[in-house]
Parts: sequence; structure tokens; C-alpha cells
Amino acid sequence: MDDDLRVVGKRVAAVDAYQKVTGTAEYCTNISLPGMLVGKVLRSPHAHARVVKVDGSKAEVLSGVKAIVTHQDVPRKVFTYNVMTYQLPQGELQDMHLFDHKARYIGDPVAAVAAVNEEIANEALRLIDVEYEPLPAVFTVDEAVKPGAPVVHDFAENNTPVPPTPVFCYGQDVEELFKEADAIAEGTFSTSKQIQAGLEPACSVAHFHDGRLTVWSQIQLPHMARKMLAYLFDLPESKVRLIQPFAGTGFGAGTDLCCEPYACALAIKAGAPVKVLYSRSEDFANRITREHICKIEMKIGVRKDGAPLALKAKYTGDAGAYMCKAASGCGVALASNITEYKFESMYQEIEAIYTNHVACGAMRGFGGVQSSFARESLIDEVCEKIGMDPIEFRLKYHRNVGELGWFPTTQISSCGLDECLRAGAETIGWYEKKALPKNGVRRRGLGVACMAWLSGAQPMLLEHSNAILKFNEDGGCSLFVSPGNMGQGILGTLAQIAAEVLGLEYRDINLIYGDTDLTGFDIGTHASRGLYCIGRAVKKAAEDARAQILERASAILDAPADQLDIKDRKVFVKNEPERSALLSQISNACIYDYQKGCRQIVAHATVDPAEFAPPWQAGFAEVEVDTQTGVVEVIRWITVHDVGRAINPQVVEGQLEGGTAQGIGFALYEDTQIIHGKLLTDGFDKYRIPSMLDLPEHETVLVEQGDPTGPFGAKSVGESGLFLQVPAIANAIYDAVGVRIRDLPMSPERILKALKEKTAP
Amino acid sequence: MFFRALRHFEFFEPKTVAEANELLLSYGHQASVMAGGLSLIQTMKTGEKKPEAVISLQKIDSLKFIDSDNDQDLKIGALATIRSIEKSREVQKHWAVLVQTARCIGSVEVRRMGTVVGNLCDGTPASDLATILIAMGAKMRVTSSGAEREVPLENFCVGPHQTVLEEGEMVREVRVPSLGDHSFASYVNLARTKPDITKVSVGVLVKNQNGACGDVRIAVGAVAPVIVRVRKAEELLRGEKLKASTIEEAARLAQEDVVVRPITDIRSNAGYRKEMVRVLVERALTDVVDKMNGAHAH
Amino acid sequence: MRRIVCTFVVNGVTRELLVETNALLSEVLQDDLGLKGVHVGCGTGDCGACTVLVDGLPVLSCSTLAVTVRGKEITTVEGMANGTKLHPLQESFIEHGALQCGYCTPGMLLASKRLLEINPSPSRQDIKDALAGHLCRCTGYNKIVDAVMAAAEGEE
Repeated sequence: MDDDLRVVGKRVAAVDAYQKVTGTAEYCTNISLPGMLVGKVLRSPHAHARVVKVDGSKAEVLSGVKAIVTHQDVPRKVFTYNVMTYQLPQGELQDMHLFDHKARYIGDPVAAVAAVNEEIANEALRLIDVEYEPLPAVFTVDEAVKPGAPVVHDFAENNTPVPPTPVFCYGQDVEELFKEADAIAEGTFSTSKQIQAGLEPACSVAHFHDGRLTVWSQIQLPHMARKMLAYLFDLPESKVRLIQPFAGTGFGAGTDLCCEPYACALAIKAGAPVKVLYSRSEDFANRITREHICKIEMKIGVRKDGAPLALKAKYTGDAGAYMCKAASGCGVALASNITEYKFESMYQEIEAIYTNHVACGAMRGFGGVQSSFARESLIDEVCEKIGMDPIEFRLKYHRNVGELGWFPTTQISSCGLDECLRAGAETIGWYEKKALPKNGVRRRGLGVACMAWLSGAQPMLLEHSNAILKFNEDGGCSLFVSPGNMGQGILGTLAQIAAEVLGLEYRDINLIYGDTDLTGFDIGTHASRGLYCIGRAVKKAAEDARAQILERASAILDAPADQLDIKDRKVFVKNEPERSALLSQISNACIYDYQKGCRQIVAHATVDPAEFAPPWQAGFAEVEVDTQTGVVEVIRWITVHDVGRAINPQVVEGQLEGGTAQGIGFALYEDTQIIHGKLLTDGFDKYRIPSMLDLPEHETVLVEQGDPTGPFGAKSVGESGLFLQVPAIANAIYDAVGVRIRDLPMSPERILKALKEKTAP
Repeated sequence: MFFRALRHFEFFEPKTVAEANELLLSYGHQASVMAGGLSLIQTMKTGEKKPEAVISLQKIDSLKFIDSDNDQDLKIGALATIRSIEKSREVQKHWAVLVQTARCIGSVEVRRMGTVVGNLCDGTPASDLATILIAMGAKMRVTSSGAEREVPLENFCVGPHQTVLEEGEMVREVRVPSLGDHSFASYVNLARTKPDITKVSVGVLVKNQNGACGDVRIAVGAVAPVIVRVRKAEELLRGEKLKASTIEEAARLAQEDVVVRPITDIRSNAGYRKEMVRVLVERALTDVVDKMNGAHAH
Repeated sequence: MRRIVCTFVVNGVTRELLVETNALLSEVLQDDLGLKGVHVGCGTGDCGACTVLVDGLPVLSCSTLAVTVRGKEITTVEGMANGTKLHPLQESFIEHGALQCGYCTPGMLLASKRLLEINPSPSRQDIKDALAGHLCRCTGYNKIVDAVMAAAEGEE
């Protein structure tokens, strides 16, 4: 790799950190506009009911009420919260209506009010008279597909909009290959529906003024959200402006709309700005959760030397009341099985079922966390059966550069998994600790797991990004980009890329972002695409700007452009560095040229990548299991990541460490519990995410070998952090106490039950 | 003016207990007493409580005390915060188990704002402090206009979030008997994450009587509508040497005790909780034995 | 009483306000005083994001009636810096990447400030104990502990 880099690879502070430590950062929740109203949503108390009548007349006359919206006030249009629908040529299944005639889950909006303060808004909600005709509801996949089950959507026969569909299959008949296998492992795995649980509750502000709708939103995909809102309210896209201020949430929660449509509907009717702020309980119960997959049946077969033969899997899930991404997006989960190992053959199916639960959306590690749980647990099992060390298996049988990537037309562009496995094994003391005896009440164990993920969902999905660079007369420049900014560090990382190409300092780049009126189109942030896709656009734009600068400098320095270079804000002749001109001098001449040669340096680049650059990783867990209580303590967690190149190692570590906390939470604690359609775990006191006291000292090791397609060799790591805690901890529990846990969370209750079943005669 | 989560109410800040009692009497069940405010404000936000009047005790200086002298009862005033007992050198020295128990409440801010008496009056069967304090034989001093009575903490709750307090009554202080040199206490609990609400817990107090178990009290939290004592286990232990086999048998009796009738909820299930009563009683008693041996060694 | 004229010393400035007795401290700081550094995450005292200092002590502003802290000194994250000079903890949080979305940051900073006042050289465990009531969904906490450790070492 080219190591003559001055900005890339450095631990520079996030561009917006100053605002965040001084309390000046503006979030949706603390936006305040003159004349702003409080918006509140009236929700169905029934899991399934026909909305016979909504009468807001009593509420309307309450002093201080400025708008009431029901189905009568909005265009009746089918839509979806899932704005990623625009990334597929055929779109995703759309099945929602704003304030529909039927409520399909407890919390489904039936009306909304805007009032001068919260107290009046709450009172107005009480005064809206809704007549429901309750219908029988259905809450499990098994019940939903039975003949005569309650029908959630009329168009979906057996509540099954997506019957078991084979996707991402290859090779010959897996059943034939299983016959040849020397060892087979199979199992049914279940997960809870993790809640993204960002610290900022759902919030949106909307203002309709002079024919233009401005929306402040926590969305990660601003441009596609603009498109959906424009469609929903019969406005041209150009009349809708989406602003994403700082967001205290994300992790996939912002890939679907949430309170935006309600804020917009109210603002349009009231003619005043409206803020819709969900309470924490409203946020947990109504913001759509992790993707629907919660049951995986998987079977794998290998030869006695470990050679992987076949993998067969079926993914099922309770999608809830609306499809959002469940209909096709979740295929990513199955695709992720392809990349990791050289299975000769693979057959996989997925289905999605409607129930009367809140819909499912997306969370970091979309489908891949469920896949890694099943696959890596079963790999561990077959390794035991054939007497092969699980690290040796992985070293020997993972795929490599040039081989099949996750999507059939793609090839793996780089792979550093060997280094990941070796470095991790050494750091945790794999071979020494594995040999230690297990006894006593508290027993320790080690587990390993591997994963390859992606840097954007191309070519399955459209991953279009734009970057614009505009130079000022002093040689500094503005970079216009539009990722979803959740504080993940993408902004600074993009600035590093631009600064490196342009011979500027990191702080010379002024970022303009989070506003669809100002920036070029961007898909936004999902599927770990930010650095890889937007980064490539930024690099390309910077290279264009660089060429423009050199061309201009060529005249000033009287040397051909290809003989020039830029470093430290200076353009110079390569073999005569003393012949130089300051970048500020060149930029100034571009703007204040009194000889009719004015041309401000502005560069624009579009990318729509097709390559597949998977970040690879190995995760190592050491756990201690209390055999009397079933309590698992993670003693140590090590993640080793092939990230291609860390543009900012601190940002990369931050992503992986944060993912680790979410992964340990998903493995051991986080448990969404719903009874009769009602979310019981609707607060941070009930849905426990890990606190500082619950996490071990966890370590991150980076492997940097460069990827030929990524900007400066970088691959994306936005989701990478949380794939392996679940399988590695599950494997470590097995190593410690000999039980395989296949349901999440791996609670003490489940572990103790498994221990008893193991010792029972 | 814009966002207000709570409904309006009349707010009073009496300066004396007598004044507070007067107000309580006049507002009756429409009044709520506020000490630290944590649990009251939460119940007001959810609408479980809709008081017409909130009577804050925070200006009653005479309730801000911890009287601790090893020879006498520990007296904790209604305004003494959980943090303050944790920080009290006397409590650290003579009632160390209370400090350890207080820390089971993970958030320092909650311990700083929340009062010990408020925690007990909240009446949750999962209260860490109530569980150990019942084992320690704590008593609540209850006042009302012109009258005062004492209620053993173990009789204070009659159901989840239901206490024996009658209209016009409030708790002035809680008294914890001295442990002296011969009594040893231990508290163990299980929770999903470390700062989470306890899913099952055990507090024990054992009086060392010439190397055998004298008086003994075992309280179990979060396994019944109120915190319970497992008397069969206590009876078995009285007068016995605390051998491993005796402890094991007592733990088994505790698990089987009819008062242990846990429910399944978001934090755990009934079967697990019941079984953990045995494990935790065994662990708490073993810890007490270790403490006795440690004290003996000194 | 339903309204009380209250005096608060907010970040060193005396403010006199007519406050409804049902107003929470977080609501007054956000709505009436426009302080954007006060972040409410749960409203139930379970996340610590809304923490402010009242007479120097970390308090959950979402669970405090504003009128009960009248006459007191209230410090929000806006009051941590001295003019343009950041508090060492603020510097350290920036330098160590101890924040991502930044929503929990004000509470973390203020609680850490108090910790370092009473314990100028904390262990990693001391920091975890002091901040256990503060949830962060982004960082996995490592870098927050690093930042507080470094700020403590820098101050010695």
C-alpha cells in the first residue's frame, strides 16, 4: 500500500465533536421554531380493528388545538415507511395507508393533532371519538398461516405475501451432497426482535410554508425520504426539503420513516411548524424493529477432512402488520452465507408472514446476525464431530480473492481473514486456554466465529452517490455530501479522503451535509455503504478538482500539469519543488481573474458502484458460565477486522466497539417481549441494553492490506461490529459447559434449562 | 409552557412534619407525598397517580438525618438518600451490607436522588434495600396528625406497591437494629444486567451464638407479591452449626416454602426464580459463614 | 401553589422565571431557557442522558420538579467550558473519540466532572461505577472510559 499519506490513516477528531461536547449540536428533539406546535398521534388500542368512524369535532373546538388530521385529510395512497423501495427497479411491496380504515397493530395511527402545547394536545387526543370494530388478531407465524386465520391484509392469502422462496442458491442438489457428508450438523435457531434503541427518541419537525414542505428528520436516507413524502402529499420533490440535523439514533432505525408523515400532515393542515416527539415507550412500541427474520432452520454437511459440501437453510419471520423490507430486502441475510465458505452447493429459502405486531424494519447487521448465529454455531459443531480445530477449519475453507461474492455476479475483491484468525488466536491464547480442564461451579470457555459482510448492497440495490467540491479563494473548500449522519464518523472520514487527494489539511475541508436542498443526490446510509460508496464519489470529485487546480497552476508555473504535484497546500513541479505556487494563490486567481479567465473550481462526481468489497472478521469470546445460576459473564472479547484500510482508525474502532456492545446485548440481554400484541418491554428499564458494568474490556485489532476497489483501499465497517458476539459467545458457552444455546437472548434461564436437560437421564 | 409531561397539581412544601401531616389529612387520598421524587414523578407521567396535591418533604430539615451508633439502632430519616447511607462512614463500618446492597441500584444519580424510605414506601417486592432490611428486622416509624406508630418493615407492604399506610399517614424514619459484634448479614441478588431491577434476591441475618446459629432471618425478594421470610428454613437453622449440609438443606426448604410463589414476567420465569431461591439462600448463608470465620480470625 | 417565581443560577447567570409546579427541570431548561445541551432519552431516569449538575451534583433533570431546585446553581453542558476554553473532559472526549451520536455526551461529561472532583485519579472500575446509570448505544463505552482516565491523568 502507498504509505506516503498525510491525512488518511490519522486519528483526527470528528468534525462535529466540538458541537457535541459544548451542547450546541441541534437534534430534532431540541429544534424550536417560532410558532411551533406540539403534534401527537392517536393510536389504536386494538391489535386488529376496523376503524368505523373518527370524529374530531369535539377536539377541534378545544382552545389551542390548531389541526386534527384523519384519513379524510390526506390523499389516500398506498405507501411504505421503507424508503429503500426506490433502490429496486421493481420496488418493494407497499401496503400502508396514512390513517388507514383498519388498525393492524396496537399503536397503529388513526389520527393526529397539533396544539399549542402538550397538555392541550393530550386533551385533544382524549376528545377524538373513534369507533372501532375489533377483529380477531393473530400474533404468531404458525397461527397466521392456518386456514381461517384472521386476515391482516386482504390481498395476502394465508397472510403470506412471501411464500417460501428460494434465493441465493447454487450448485447441485444439496440432498445428494448430504448423503456424501461425513458429518452433518443442523438446528433451528431463534432470535428476539432487537430494538435499535438509540438514545434520542423518535422525533420530526415539519413546516409547510409558501408551497414548500421542510422536514427535519432522523432519517438515514434523506433523498429517498424526500421522494416518499413528496409522493404522499402530492408535491414535486423539489418542493420538499429534508433536513437531517444531528441524530441521536440510527443503527438502521433511520432507514424507515417514523414520525415524519404525521408531522407533515399536521404542518400542512395547521400552516405552522409542528414537532412530533414520541415518548420512549411510544418509540419502542411503534418504531419498527430489527428485520423480521427470527427463525432459521439450517443444515450443513462436510467431509471428514472438513471440506464443506452443502448448506441448506430456511428463514422465516413474523413481519408484523406491514412488509417494509421483509418482502425482498431480507434476502441479504441469505446472500451473506455465500461469501464465507467454499460450500459446493447451497439451497436457501425465505418467507415472510403478516401478523398483528408492529412492523419490522432494519437494524445494523441486517439479516447477517441471524445468519452468522446459525452458520457459525453449526460450523463449530461439525468441527467437533470431525475432530478439527475450528480455527483450522476456517483458515482452510474460507473463500478468497476472485471467488464468488455474495451476489451471483460479484467477485471477492480482497480478503484478510487468515491474518484476522491468526492474530485473534494469538491474542486470546486460543491453543493454551482450549487445553485447560473445565471444572467447578464457574467454568470458562472460548469461542470463535467468522464473517464476511459487504460495503454497500450493490449490485442488488441502487447505491448512487454524489460528491461536490467547491473551492474558495483561499484554497479551502466545501465538500457537499449526503450520508445519514448519526455520529458514526463518516463526515470526517470523507474529509480525510478529499484532503489527502488535494494536498490539504483535514480542517481545510468544510462539510455541507444533511440538507437535500444543498447536496447532490445520495442513497444515504445503510448496508455499510457510506465510506465505500460515498468515499469513492468524494475521491473521484477530489481527483477532478485536483486536475482543475493543476491545469490552472500549469499556466502560473509554466510547467505541464502532469509534472505537478500538490502537498501542504502548495502546488509544485515534481522535480523542482522550489518552483511552486500556493493553493490559495491559484484559487484566488480562479475567482478574481480580471483577464476574463474566471472559473471557480467546482468538481462533481457520481458513483454507482458494482464491485463487492467484503470486510472480513474473526471474533473471539472468553466466557465464564455459572453452572448453578446459568449466568454468563463475558470475560474478554476480541474482534479482529480486515478493513482494507482504516482511513481513521479511531472511527473504525468506535464502530466496532459500539457494535460489540450491541452484539453482546443481543446475545445475552436484549429481549423484546410482546404479549397479545402489546409490547411489554417499552422502556430502558424493561428492555435492557448493556451498561458500562455489563461489558468486558473488549479489544479491537485491525488488519489493513488494502482493497483494490475501495477509496485508499478502505472497506466499510458500519455494521461489522455486531455479527460475531452471538455465535462466538454461543460457541464459548458450549466449550465451557457443553450445551448449545440456539435461542436468543442466551439468558440464564435458558442456559440453566439446557444444563438440566443435558444431565437428565 | 410547551412540553409538559405532568398534569397540574397543587404543590406544598411544609417545613415541619406536623405541617405535612395536616396537609395530608386535608387532601386525603388526593395527596401524594414526595421525598426524592423519582418514583412519584414516574407514576405521575404514566398516569398511575394523578394527585391533586403533591406534598414535598424536601424542606423538612428534621427528616434529613442518619443517626448511627453501633450500640443502637441505625435511624434513617425520610429524606436520607440512598447515596448518603452509602457514603456514611458509620454505616460503612457497622452496616456494610447496606452499602453493598445500595450499590445494586446501578445508577449513582438514582441513589443520590432516591431516599431509603422512599424506596421502601414504593413497595416493590423487588426492592434490594427492603429485602435486606426485612432480614435485619427494620421497623418503619409512621406518623399522622397527633399520632405515631411503628410497623415492622416485613408487615409494611400488603401487596405490590401497596402499603399499610392509611390516609394522612407518612413514614418519618426507618430503624435498623444494630448488628453488634455477633450478627452477620448478607445480600445476594440476580438481575438481567447489573443495573437492572432484581429478578430474585435473598437477604439473611444470622446471630452467632457460640459458633452456632442463634436468631436467623431470611428474606426473599421478587418471588411473591411482597418480600417474604422463609421460616421453615430459619427454623431448621436455629441452634445448628452452619455446616455445608445444613445450609444445603435450609436452602432446599427455602425453595419449597409455600410463601415462595414467583410469577413469570419480563425479567425471569417462575421456575427459575424458585430454583434460584435455593442457590441464593445457600450463597448468602455461605457468605455469612465466611464473615463469621473472618470476624473470628480477627 | 401552581406557579412559583424561581431564581436559578444557570451556568453562572442568575435567571428569574415564573415556573409551573408541574414543570420538570429538563422542560424548563429546554423550553424556557433554550438550552440544547439538555437531552432527554427516556424520561424515566433509566438512561442518564438528561443529567445536569445541581449545586455541583449530577441529578436527573427529567425526574426533578424544577421548583424544587430553585435558588440553586444549575450547570448544563453549556456551562462546562470557560469561554472558548474547553473543560479538560470536553477536550479529552473529542481527542479520544468518546462520542458518536453525542446524545448521551452531556450527561456523561457532567457526571464525569463530578467524579473527578471527588476522585481525581479514578480506576477504570471507579469510572464504570460512577457512569453506570448512563447508557450509550454507540460507543461500547471503551473510549468514554479512556477519555475520563486521560482527563484525570492530564489534570494531575
